[in-house]
Amino acid sequence: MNLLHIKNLHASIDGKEILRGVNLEVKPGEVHAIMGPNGSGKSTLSKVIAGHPDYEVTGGEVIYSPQFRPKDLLEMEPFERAREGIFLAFQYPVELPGISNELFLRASFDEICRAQEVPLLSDADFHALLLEKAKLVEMDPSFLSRPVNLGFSGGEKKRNEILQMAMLQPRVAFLDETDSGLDIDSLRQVAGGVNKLRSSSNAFVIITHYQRLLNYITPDVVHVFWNGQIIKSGGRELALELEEKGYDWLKPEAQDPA
Amino acid sequence: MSAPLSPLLEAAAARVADGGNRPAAAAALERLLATGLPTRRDEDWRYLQLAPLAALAPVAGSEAPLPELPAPLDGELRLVFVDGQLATALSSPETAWSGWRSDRSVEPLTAFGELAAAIAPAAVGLALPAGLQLAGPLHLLFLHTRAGATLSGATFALSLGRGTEATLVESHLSADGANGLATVALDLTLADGAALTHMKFQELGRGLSHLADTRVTTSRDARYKSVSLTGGALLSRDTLAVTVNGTGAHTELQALFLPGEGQTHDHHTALDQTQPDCTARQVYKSILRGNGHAIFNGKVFVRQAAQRTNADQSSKSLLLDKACRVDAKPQLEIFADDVRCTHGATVGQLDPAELFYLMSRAIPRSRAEELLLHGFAVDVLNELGQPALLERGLALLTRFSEA
Repeated sequence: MNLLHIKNLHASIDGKEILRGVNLEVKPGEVHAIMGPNGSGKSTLSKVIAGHPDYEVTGGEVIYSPQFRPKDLLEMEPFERAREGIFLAFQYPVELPGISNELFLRASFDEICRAQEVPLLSDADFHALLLEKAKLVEMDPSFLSRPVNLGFSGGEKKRNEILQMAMLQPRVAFLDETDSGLDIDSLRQVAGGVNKLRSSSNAFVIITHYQRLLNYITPDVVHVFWNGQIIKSGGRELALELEEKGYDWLKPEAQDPA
Repeated sequence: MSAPLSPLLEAAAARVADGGNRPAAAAALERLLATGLPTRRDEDWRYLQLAPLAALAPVAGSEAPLPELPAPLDGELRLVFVDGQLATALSSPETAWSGWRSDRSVEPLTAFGELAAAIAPAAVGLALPAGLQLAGPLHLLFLHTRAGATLSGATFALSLGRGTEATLVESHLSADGANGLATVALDLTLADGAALTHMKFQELGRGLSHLADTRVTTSRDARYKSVSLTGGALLSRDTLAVTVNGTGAHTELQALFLPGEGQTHDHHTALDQTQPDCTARQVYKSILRGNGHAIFNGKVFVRQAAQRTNADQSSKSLLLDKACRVDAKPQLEIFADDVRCTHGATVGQLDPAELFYLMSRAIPRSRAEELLLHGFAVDVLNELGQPALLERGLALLTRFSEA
């Protein structure tokens, strides 16, 4: 059964259509990679799934079935989607002055515990869990008491996104260009975090420009996004082919999809 | 004066007479009658609705039960004023503080301060001698208990001797249904090397208007730090003037004011640097809701002798609704040439990107807003230092964000 099923999804911003009929099926345990040129709409897809208020869904549906009970994702508020296990690692993580990383994660974690009807952790147990997860992404514990993302380097911000993902244990995580702007060490740390979180019950959708990240995280399926649609899907080898040939050779196919 | 007195000033004159014409009260009344109450034509008062206050015809009012009092702070010396009158039964035993009692009269800053000095039932004050170490903070509670158009005034003078360090906590609280005009005038002097941390919680009910003068005079190497939280009252006006009369002194002024629907919170501050090599830092923050109105006027004078003054001032406002209004005015007057002074004022709204980020992490909008308000205010709240006061500050902010 699909964990997430996107059917003919259309979405626009300020009246301009960005998604023009996206179809995607994600099963538990899978890692999908979505590649495509700048402006093709792949980041928009992740924001629409997370419920970003700037985008208007104009057609299609998204069925999310975390417990084998299908839910209409588009009817849910952003915080409800997150409570039910949808996660977006932001391309540009937001700075939150005055709110410590630990306070932020605690607020978020507690909401998810309440929604899942799991007992809340004591402060000490929560802190211990947080330290354990910080280790997973090789983050210095001093970052936990600092305001969220404030003064963090690009790599630190991205690792902080993965730390949040590790704490919240989502079922479907969209990683929106998590690799952009990362040096090779940060890339390895981020990928290492994702690999440790992979399981047979969750799924990842990795949005990226480059196949570089896919050297560290092996995808099950690779999709090519162009002009608001997925125009081609294939295995791991498709990413290598794109790296070699670019995207242009695929464009005619878009006009006459198989 | 040829024109008939307003009922308010007439009541003030009657109280001075009833009190046996104490010299300080009579002098304050005389100054008050000479200047009259301010009106909107006065630059320093232009944003306030003063006419209803000036037209107030005070009554004795009916007594309501006392509000719930905050738990005593560790080792505190508590002085409670009920409707302006020192209530010895609610205060720390007189033997604990009578040795330092002082009858120094306050020097008000505004006509409302003069009104407080005129009608205050008695001059109350403490002079803490050099080297004295109090066991805990000095806690002044100003309680308002009467319903009806009441008028009250209280004054307090505090002097710190050479090198004396103290913490002063001011709590302004009211019973349900209490209303009227509450005036207060404080006069604080710090001798050489003295240090005062002054925290104010204004948590009055909406039936009251709060007009408060605080005059501070500091000397060489003295440190004065003020943290003022304004949550209550219909109209609240704080006038704070700090005159730095010695070298090497440090002044820190912080405030968080939270005007909600129907409320006006006005902070007028004046920092007068008269001597060289002093530092000062000022951070005034307001969060506004409904048609709440925040006013900040921050004057900084750097006199010609005050070379190498290092002073920063910042005012930040966060508007939660379209009908909120902020009037913020920094006012620097610098007569010395070798100084470093900065000031800045910002007015903003909740950032939709920050809200979405929090909501994308399972946090509902109301809680996300609460977190962002906390993030905005936390640097001022952290200045409260001790946990019991920090908790009180956080509770004040939570009540505002849930309103």
